[in-house]
Amino acid sequence: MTFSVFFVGILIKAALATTAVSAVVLITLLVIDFRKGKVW
Amino acid sequence: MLHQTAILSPVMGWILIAVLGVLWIALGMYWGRKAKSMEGYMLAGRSVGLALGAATAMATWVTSNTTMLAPQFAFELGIWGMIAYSTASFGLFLFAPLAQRIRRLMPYGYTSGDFVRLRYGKIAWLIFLAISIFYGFTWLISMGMAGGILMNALAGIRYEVGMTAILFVCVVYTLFGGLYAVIGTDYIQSLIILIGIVIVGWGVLTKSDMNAVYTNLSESRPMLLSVLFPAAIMAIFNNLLFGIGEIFHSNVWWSRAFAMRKGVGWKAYILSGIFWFPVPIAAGFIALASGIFNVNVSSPDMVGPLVAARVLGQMGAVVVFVVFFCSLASSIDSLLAATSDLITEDIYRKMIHPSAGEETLRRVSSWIIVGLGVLTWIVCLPRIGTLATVLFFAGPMVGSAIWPIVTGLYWKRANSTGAVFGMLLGTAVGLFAYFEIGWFTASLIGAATSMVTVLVATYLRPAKFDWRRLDESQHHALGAEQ
Repeated sequence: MTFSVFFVGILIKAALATTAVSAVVLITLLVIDFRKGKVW
Repeated sequence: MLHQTAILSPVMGWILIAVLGVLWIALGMYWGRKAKSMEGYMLAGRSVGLALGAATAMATWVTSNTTMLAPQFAFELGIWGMIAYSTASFGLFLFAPLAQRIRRLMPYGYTSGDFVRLRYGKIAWLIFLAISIFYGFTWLISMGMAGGILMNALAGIRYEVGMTAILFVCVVYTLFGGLYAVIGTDYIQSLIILIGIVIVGWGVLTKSDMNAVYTNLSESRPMLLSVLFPAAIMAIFNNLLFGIGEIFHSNVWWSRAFAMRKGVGWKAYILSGIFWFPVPIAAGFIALASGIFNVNVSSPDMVGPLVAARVLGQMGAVVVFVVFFCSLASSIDSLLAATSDLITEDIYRKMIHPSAGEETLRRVSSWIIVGLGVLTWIVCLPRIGTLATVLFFAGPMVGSAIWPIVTGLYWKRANSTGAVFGMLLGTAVGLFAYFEIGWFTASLIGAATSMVTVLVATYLRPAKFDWRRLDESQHHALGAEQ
């Protein structure tokens, strides 16, 4: 029994998309902390 | 000697090292000015916010071991291998509630050693320190080696020279800036890592035909696509437990729990786990394409950079170089700071010089950071093994620390006998498994042995621990009560 090509493709694309979203969330969080004066 | 597969010229390699090195040292010194006290230097004033907290946990956990070993896992263990590496994020998820509890029970704590000393007493503390310092040092060595290997493979810079350069940069900025420098640079490094992985991953994905990759694997190495690949399935449990053990016991993570603002710790660790989970898959899958691009893999831990450089050329090699430099720096700096804190607080201040003032402690801490850097450099000089063999040797030790830490934080009845024998027996049996069965079983067996030992000892001699004893500021009041 093997993983299908569809599963492998989706797994990789989902991982790349989530990684990209993580970068955006991280920048947004810093902006929010900065506005609240809670960076450090 | 120029590495056969070097894609960048040594001049370009040196330019990148110089630019990144100067940037991290300058930022480290800038943020380090905030460290006016020892608490500032060691714990960034205990006021780190959510963005920096989540970023530092994520970046520290994305090490060279992630960016180099995840492709190696995919190359050797296939689809399950990538997923197995991702399970190391569970350590971050599960540490989230612990971070909150640690901050609440020990508002003035400094290290994970403080917890073991106050919770279990001196013998458990000494064993824990031996495990924790050995593990921290092993991790440092694996990353010093990775720095040398990477710079040699990508830019043809001699292994010893590249390894020396990255250690030097990290020692200097950690020395001047303490945890402020570590966490501040970690934020920028985490963004560079995430964006770089997406650029490289997307580049490889668009230039390779997924059907061709799949067909190539089906014909040449079908086990990599198998749902029932025994070694890969074992690796999932091993990596999961190794990751949990690493995070639960290591002062790298405890120091961040102490450093984050009240209420921030659990959110930061959950977020960092979400950010980290896809990284080994995004960074690892490119190794599966090595077959269709005819990449000659001389060393399995270099498969990721080699494929990226082959497919994306000079630009790809530059991005990979920068991502690796950041992933190495974000972990080396954290380890230097956290291990130095452990030695300064637990060994120097608690055992050698209890009345030492802030100035003395800062000086000692600085010397320890330099000493750790020099010692790592000496051990890294001869390349002693692959990254996996170096790192996973510490697996059974950290696996054996999981149960003493968790039960110690949540269970009043957990006792020091269970903690002592849990760590000793877990390490011994786990190391036996490492040599007799294979590295992929060592953490699993070490953790299982430790669990049984802790549970049996607790059942036979239950303790009745007073949680207030973990807060050293209350010890005077507790003494008066008794």
